[in-house]
Amino acid sequence: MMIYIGMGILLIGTVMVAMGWTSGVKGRTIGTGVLLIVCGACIGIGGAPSRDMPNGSPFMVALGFVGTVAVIALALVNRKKNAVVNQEAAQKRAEVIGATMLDRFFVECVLSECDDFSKPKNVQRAQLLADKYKLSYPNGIEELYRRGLEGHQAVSRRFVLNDLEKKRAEERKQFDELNRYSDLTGKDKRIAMLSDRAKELRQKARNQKEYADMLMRSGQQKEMDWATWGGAASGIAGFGAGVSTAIDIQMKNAQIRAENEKRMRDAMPGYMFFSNNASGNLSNADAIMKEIENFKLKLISDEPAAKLMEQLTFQSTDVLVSETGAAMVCTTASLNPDFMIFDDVPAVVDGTIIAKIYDGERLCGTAQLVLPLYGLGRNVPLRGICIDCCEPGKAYTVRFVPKHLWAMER
Amino acid sequence: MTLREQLLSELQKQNEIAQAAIKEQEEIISAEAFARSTITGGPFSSTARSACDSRMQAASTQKNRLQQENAWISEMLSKYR
Repeated sequence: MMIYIGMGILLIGTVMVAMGWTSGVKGRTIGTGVLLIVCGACIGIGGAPSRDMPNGSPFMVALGFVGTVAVIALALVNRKKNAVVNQEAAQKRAEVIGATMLDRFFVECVLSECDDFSKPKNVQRAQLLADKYKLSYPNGIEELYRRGLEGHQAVSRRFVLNDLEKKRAEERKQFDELNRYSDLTGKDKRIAMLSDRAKELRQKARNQKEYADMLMRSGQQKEMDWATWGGAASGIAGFGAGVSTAIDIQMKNAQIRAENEKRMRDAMPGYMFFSNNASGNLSNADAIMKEIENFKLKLISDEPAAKLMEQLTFQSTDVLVSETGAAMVCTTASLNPDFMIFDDVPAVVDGTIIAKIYDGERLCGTAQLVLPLYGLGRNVPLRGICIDCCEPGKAYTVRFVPKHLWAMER
Repeated sequence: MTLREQLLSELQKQNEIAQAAIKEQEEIISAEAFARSTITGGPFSSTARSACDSRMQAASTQKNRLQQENAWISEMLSKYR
């Protein structure tokens, strides 16, 4: 009995492998087929009595059945998963304008201004449109239009949601960008900012250099080896054929050389432009690395952040709330121009300030304002963003508190 | 905003999305054409060329599919805008 069951499973596995192979090598079908073959073989061999084991091998049979059950369970789970994915894809497709004939009918009815069915001309035009999109209207054209209107609401909702999702993604990107250095303190912040800038410049230079090289290489043809080809022709068809082939190839090579030179001359201005830009970026990156070395010798005072905060003034502070509920805090900050550290060393304040956003007395959220690369001087614009914390159309106030602040030699 | 204006703006947005996708495919085609032109020779040049060709072909098929899908929207916009 077990032998027949095993053979049956083996057969199914073989058919699956064959099907997977013939329909464009489908890895998953072939894999499942191979597993079934192995399981079928286990059941068949384990179920067959032998001289040493008159009852067969129950372990092998059990292994074969467990494997088969696992394969079937996996196939069922996959089928369910695929059904969900397909449903989601179909849902998304249906939420695109004009995805169904009914939606097309509805849209064209509105666009051609025949949606007022009190006028007979509009009724007739709508009927013509329904015929155009091969739609029947047993309950009247108005009913068809109403169904189209209802169906289109999902499309409109999708547009609004897509817009919001896009805006949210942009805001999250901006949030990451603005808060990139918010946790760094002391010299580490400026070193990280400068190093990143140098890295960006080097990457840009590398891309420009690669592009310049590609430009130079584009359209260039390789010359053929006249000696090899001539030798081969001589070996096959004799000395005369060899000489003729070699001369022919040399002539072709001369043409290729001339063409290559012409193309190279044409590409030269572009090559020079990108090469010069690349070397400019590289020298800027080197200058930044030198600046980092010099900067390490700057003095830092240990004045408390609250005291440093007293040296700062904020003006033109705005809270701009987007339709997703994100609040952008914009302000212009200035440092007391007479600010010194160690009595007589001119200094700047650097670090991160927190903008607390209030609706009346209720704290709604916070935004981090990271001070720029060279710290705070006079009238420095600052920006910070708080995601999903405010409501559009409301007025908010801001209070500034320090997160990390330190004073550093200018 | 009237329903007609809303629908026109939706069509416009959908058209922009489709045009961006078409442009992306066109960029792939021109980048592959450029990459193909930089293949100067060598033992793998024909393989590299055919790889470029097949990618260009795939991008071109995708572009045609997108254009077909967007045909109705383009028609509506040209007719009623």
